Amino acid sequence: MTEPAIKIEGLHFSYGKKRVLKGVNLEVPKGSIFGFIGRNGTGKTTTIKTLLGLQKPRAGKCIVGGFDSVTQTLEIRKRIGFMAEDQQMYGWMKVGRIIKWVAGFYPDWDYKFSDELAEILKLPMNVKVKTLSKGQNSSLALLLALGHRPDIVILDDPTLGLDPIARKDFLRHVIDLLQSNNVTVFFSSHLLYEIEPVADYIAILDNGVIIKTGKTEQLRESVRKFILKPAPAADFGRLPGILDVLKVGDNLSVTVEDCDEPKKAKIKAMSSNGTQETALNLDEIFEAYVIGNRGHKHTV
Amino acid sequence: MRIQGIIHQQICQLKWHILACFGLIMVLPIEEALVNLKEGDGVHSSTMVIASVMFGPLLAGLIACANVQGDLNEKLYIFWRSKPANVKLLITLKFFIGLIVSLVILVCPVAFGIISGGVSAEYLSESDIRYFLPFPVLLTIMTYSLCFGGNVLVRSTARAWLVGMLLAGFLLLLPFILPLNYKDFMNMFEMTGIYFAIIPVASVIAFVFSLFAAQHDWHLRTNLKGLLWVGAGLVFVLMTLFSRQVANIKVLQEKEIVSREWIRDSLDSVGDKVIFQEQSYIDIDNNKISFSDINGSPDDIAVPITRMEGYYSEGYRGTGRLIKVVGDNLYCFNILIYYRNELIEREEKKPIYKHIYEKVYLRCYKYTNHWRPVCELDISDCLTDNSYPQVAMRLIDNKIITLIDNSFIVVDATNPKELKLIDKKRNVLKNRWGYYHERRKEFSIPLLPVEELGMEDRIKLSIDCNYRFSYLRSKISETSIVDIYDGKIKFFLVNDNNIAGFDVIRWDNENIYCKFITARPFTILECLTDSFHSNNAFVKSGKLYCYNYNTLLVLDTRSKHKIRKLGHFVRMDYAIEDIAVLENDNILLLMHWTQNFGKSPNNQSKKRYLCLLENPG
Repeated sequence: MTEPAIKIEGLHFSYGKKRVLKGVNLEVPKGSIFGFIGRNGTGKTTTIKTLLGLQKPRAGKCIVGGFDSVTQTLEIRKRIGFMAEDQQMYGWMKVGRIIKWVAGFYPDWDYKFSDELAEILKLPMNVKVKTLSKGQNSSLALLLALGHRPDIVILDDPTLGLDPIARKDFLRHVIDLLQSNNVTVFFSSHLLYEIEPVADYIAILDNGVIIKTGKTEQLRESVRKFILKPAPAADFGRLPGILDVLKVGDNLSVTVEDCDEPKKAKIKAMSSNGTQETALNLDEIFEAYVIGNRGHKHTV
Repeated sequence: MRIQGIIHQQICQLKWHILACFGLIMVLPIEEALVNLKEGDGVHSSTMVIASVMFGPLLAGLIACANVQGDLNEKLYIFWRSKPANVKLLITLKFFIGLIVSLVILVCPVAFGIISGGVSAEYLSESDIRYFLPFPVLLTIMTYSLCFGGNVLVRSTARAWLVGMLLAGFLLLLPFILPLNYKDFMNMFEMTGIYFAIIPVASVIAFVFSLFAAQHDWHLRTNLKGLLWVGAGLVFVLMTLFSRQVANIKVLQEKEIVSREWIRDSLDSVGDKVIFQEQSYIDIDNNKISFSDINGSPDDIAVPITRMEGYYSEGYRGTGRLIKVVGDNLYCFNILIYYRNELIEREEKKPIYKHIYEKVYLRCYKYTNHWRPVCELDISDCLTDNSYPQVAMRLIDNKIITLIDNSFIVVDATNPKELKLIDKKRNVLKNRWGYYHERRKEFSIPLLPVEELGMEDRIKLSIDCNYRFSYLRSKISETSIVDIYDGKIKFFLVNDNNIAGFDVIRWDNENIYCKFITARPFTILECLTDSFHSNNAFVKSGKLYCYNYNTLLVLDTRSKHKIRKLGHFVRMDYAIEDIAVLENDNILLLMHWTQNFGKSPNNQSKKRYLCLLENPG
């Protein structure tokens, strides 16, 4: 098995007394597009800052591209491209100047490639950064993250604040540029429909811990929703893998993970008039994992 | 990392601030030059150059804040920190670029003054520049560094400027209120020396702190309210420290006294009595000062004293006397030296007169409404060929130890009317120690061969003579800088900068061996008007009393490792003449106040006061 591009082991981090990360474990395979999803304030940006070595973890460690995030931060930063949410840059600099300025930090900056990127992203070189539109600003940030041809790209909610068209445009560029170069993309977002079409792998972060990780396709396959009328003695709370139980009129909506045939049979046995099985999109799966009641209460 | 790119970026980032600061600092010199031009005096500026330079440190703070503010905004910080930038190198470059810019801006008015002066032949004095420029330059470095560090910490231009300036102000005030040790080894710069120490140290600390804070993303999330609270706290600390410095020892009573107008008066402690003007006792009852007359019995016949025709005399009744009380009678001992003036011829120079000292008498007087001589002893053979003999006396157990030049005599004064010479030794005061130089080294003080005294008294006398036996005004007769407590012997020396404590480690027949323990520097406030000296210092019951022109300090000398200040008394318009520590530990202070009506001494009015102070601590 090849070594993962990013490996996080038992990561703990606190802001003062507030514990933000409570033992995050994660492996991002090389060459994959990895969706890192979670609600606002669950610790996505904190995890990314720790990966970049911008803050020291209280416990645990992060290995990025084979380098330790605490002791080899410069090596990591040379090899990754990073784009933060709502990326701000020096507004008084012209686009051409900021590209040159950033290029100065990288010993192997690819000027030809960055020129090509500027053309693809339609970036005007002679205007000041502060005059760029939000979409252009994101494009410039993307260029600055990719200009040195990194092995790993970390995108932290890169489309935050963009309108739907600009967002789609931006994502199209990202996928076009990265998929062809076997680059590992670690993509954090709270907009699941944004990640769903592109991510090979998904990790769901909630309350400082990873509550689910796996291939996107497998996740979609394994989580199922059943609409059924419960039998009188049915107790869904005792069913393993139950994520959410909702009362919808006379019926119940039951969401279950790792749904194999024996589990389906058990659910059917709890129903009085048969079941209706449906697949879920990522948005619904995320919702079931994050705010699902685990069968403890049956409310609409 | 491409350094020229960073320098270019930094200059671009600062360009508007540079222009604004340049405009602000140049406006006054340019205005002065234009006014001079209008008046037909040529285009030159001098006064405003100096005034503008004083603004330099404030503007440097602005440059410092603008220098990194752009990089420390949270999102921008993540932007450049996510690149493989060497943070320490980057911050160092930014720091020094800003500092150079600040110094260049500071020097601009001076350059303008020199150039415009050159054009108009109204040259700015080079000595003026050399005199006033170093301090603003140092201050600029400090305010710049503190504001830079402040900005890294609070990440807001206005707040960082406030923090930096507040800290700078605090550090500038610190030497006034805290006895900082820097002055001890920086005394070559005199009073400003402490700033020459504080400023570089504060600047380096601020710079190093900035490096680490930027590297580790240390910063405070401040709000204006919180910052104001911190500021108020700092001001409170300053005020507390300041008030400790300015709060006087409690005055129990203050009494104006009629006194001899121009003679320096003194207080003489004899046993539990304090004698004022050698004429009356000062009685303290219930913290009230009163006087009672000394009534000596007038039955004695005055002895004739030797008259030396054709000689001048130096009598030291006023300053070098000893007082002894026998029953109701008051006796006083003093020394009178007779000299003649001899014309000394010199090659290719004008001849000068030299005092040739030939006769010395130890005399005893008795008070019977006036002083009458009752005994005289010729001790002239103690004189050497020194042109200015040093004299001091001490009365120990009815023995008068008299030091003249580098000889001493011991006289039995049990009966003051019949003084008896007990011992006489010439050339005993050799190798006198001026002041300590090497703190870590043990040093020795010659032990006076006065076998008639006990060892403790000998040591006391030897140390006092060594350091306070400077000339006739020495008061070694009554007080000592030596403290003997719990079997340990300590002594304290006072100089312009500090009070130094020493331990007597051991002694042999010839020497006393001592070692430095600790020093307590004076604050600027304490020695604002005058410096201190060992002659005006003494130890009593574990407390060191030292005074200068208008300040009395009381210090605890029995703390283990440091000399701790207990309190002080300052009267800015008054001059301290003498102090006496009473049996109950309270302090009696004799001081005067002079009102000037003109330059002539005849146009002055002097009032004397006795002040009873509560002993602190």
